[in-house]
Amino acid sequence: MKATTTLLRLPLMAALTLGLSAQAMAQTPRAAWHAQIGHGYEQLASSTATFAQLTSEYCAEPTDAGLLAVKEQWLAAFNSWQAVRFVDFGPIEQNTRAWKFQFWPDPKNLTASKARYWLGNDKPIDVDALSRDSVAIQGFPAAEYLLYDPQITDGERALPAERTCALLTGISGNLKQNAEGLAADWGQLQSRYLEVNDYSNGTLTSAMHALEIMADWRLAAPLGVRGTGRPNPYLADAWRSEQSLVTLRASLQGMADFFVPGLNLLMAENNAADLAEQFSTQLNKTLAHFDGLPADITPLLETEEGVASLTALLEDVRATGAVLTGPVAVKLGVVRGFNSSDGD
Amino acid sequence: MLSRRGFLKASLAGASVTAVSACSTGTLLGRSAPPLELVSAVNDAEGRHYIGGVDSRGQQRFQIPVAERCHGGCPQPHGDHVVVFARRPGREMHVINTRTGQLERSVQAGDGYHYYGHGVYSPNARLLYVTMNNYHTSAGLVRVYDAFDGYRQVADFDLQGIGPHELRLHPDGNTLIVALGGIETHPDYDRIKLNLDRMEPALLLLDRHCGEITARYTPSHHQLSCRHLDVSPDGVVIAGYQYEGPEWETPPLLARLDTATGEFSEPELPLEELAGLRNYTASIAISRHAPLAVITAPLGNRAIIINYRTGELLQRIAVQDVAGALPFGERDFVVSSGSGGVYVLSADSDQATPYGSYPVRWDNHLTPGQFIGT
Repeated sequence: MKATTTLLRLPLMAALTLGLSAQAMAQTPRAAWHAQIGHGYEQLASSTATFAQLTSEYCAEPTDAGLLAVKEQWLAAFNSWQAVRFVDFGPIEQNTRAWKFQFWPDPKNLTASKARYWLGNDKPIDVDALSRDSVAIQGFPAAEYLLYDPQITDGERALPAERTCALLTGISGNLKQNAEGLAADWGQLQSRYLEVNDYSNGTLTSAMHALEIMADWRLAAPLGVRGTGRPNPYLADAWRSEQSLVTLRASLQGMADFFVPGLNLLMAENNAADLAEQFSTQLNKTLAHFDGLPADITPLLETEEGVASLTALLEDVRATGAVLTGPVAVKLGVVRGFNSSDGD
Repeated sequence: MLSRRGFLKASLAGASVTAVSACSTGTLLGRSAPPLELVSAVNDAEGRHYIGGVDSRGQQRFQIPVAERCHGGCPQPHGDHVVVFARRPGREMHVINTRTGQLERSVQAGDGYHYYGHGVYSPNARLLYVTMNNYHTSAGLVRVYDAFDGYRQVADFDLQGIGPHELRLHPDGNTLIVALGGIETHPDYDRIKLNLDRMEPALLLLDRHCGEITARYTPSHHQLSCRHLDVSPDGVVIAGYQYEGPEWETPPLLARLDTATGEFSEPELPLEELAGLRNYTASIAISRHAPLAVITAPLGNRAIIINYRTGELLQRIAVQDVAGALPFGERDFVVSSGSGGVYVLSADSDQATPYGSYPVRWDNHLTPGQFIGT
């Protein structure tokens, strides 16, 4: 049992001194993944920065058009989060960052109680104070609550009420700060991500896991296929803004944009380009469902036709994941462990 | 819905035993039923949770459905009970009768409290010490139950810290050794770790009679969560860390405390070995007869065996999704895998010897079906 590798001591410089040109690096699967996911993180950073800026502008000078712009930008930023939500390793795993973007599911409605707590006292609100509080007050759902929930929008705390404005400004500023940190840290991970082979499996399993969450938690649970057996739109994400299917679509599109290019290279390297093709075909078939669907899951739960179309969507999301957990995993020898996935 | 008996039959039919079936096959639940050997939290392929038991012939004896996924357990010295605890932030512990293989009772953590998944009995089998969280205050504590009085709650010992996890009884019979993970959790937030930037993990020694903390040792980094441990018959503690910092850093993952001298250290492993553990250790088990300890690392799909006296690395054994571990025989260990296998590991071999294969996902820890004396 002698030391045979010194993987971790390879300094950042190693990749450079090996003379890998940008061209050559872009041809490896992990180089593609690092670049594409990095692109997604940059988009998240820029869209949350715009969200923070529009919020500040609106609160300084409130207009109806300004509020509409804030809402639209909230959705744009939330969708850019959805697009990279499949990544569950690297800096997003540090310091519960993922939860700080989106605390979900939230069966006890902690988002509302935390927001009401902050609105109901006179503590100074700033990014630092919020970043030290619960993850339930830090993310997109907390902003959504202030922008969309009738508890707020129908009462005296409706925007641009001073304290609501201060809270939304703080939440958006915190999101911006977290997104900037995430993008920067992802850049720092580059040399290690490219060097360590395990990250290929890690990236694949994170995509598998994300598709399972989409199927089981984002569709099957509100549909009533799992859990209580009763349809419940409040189990979907983005129910307050009535955008639960838009956000689900954004997650699938994010996989098409940021995951598929690296997968194509990886499967080609393993003489299995047909499996990458199979995945893309199935993913595109799944995405095509959304053309005929509304923005939110709620109206679909009220009719037989609606339930049937959601069930068909669910089947295709499952089929998309099954390409990865089935033939792709077999081809690459990827084993997802029980204890290694969720230990304690 | 399958009845419990139905479950049992189904489990037995599904079990395929590879190595221990050298024994003659006897009447399983008849008068000569062999002693219970292993108890563990298990999942089935559909994700349902159970407590499973396997006897010394490798046959599955029971599979008891439970609502919450369970974690660790402990056998009652010279008694009939094994207790298995819901995992963080679960709120039930289950008392299994090892003779009948039946669930004898389930005990609730009570309003405002959750378990962490570990406990240990007093040497006289009467008192059960259990790590818990008062989630209104985040105060970590050891609760004492009276096993002779229906597991009545008799005392709470405050640990002056957050997130106690595994605890063991020192061979002196009077001292509890507690791994304090330092991580705050709250049932409202399920398993989210709420305080990663301000953790204060520790290894604690505690007088089990009065709850006084007699020593406190601190890991070299505040995000090294001290989670699991075992203690040797001569009082050497090996504890395993889980690092909550960046995955690309390689801090030490083991602590060693010689309770005879109070010397606390963090044995160094060769860097490539350390990196292979992926900053995560699951179970620690120390041999009763040889100076050996096994550490399982499911993220790295490997177990390592060290000499606990010197800290020297002796063996690395690849086992897919390995987690549960117990000392076995004179110098060996038995470990379980999430993919269903049970294996015997020896310091003399880098190969795991199959000891049985079951249609279950073995969860983090193995509990002896019978008390192993120190």
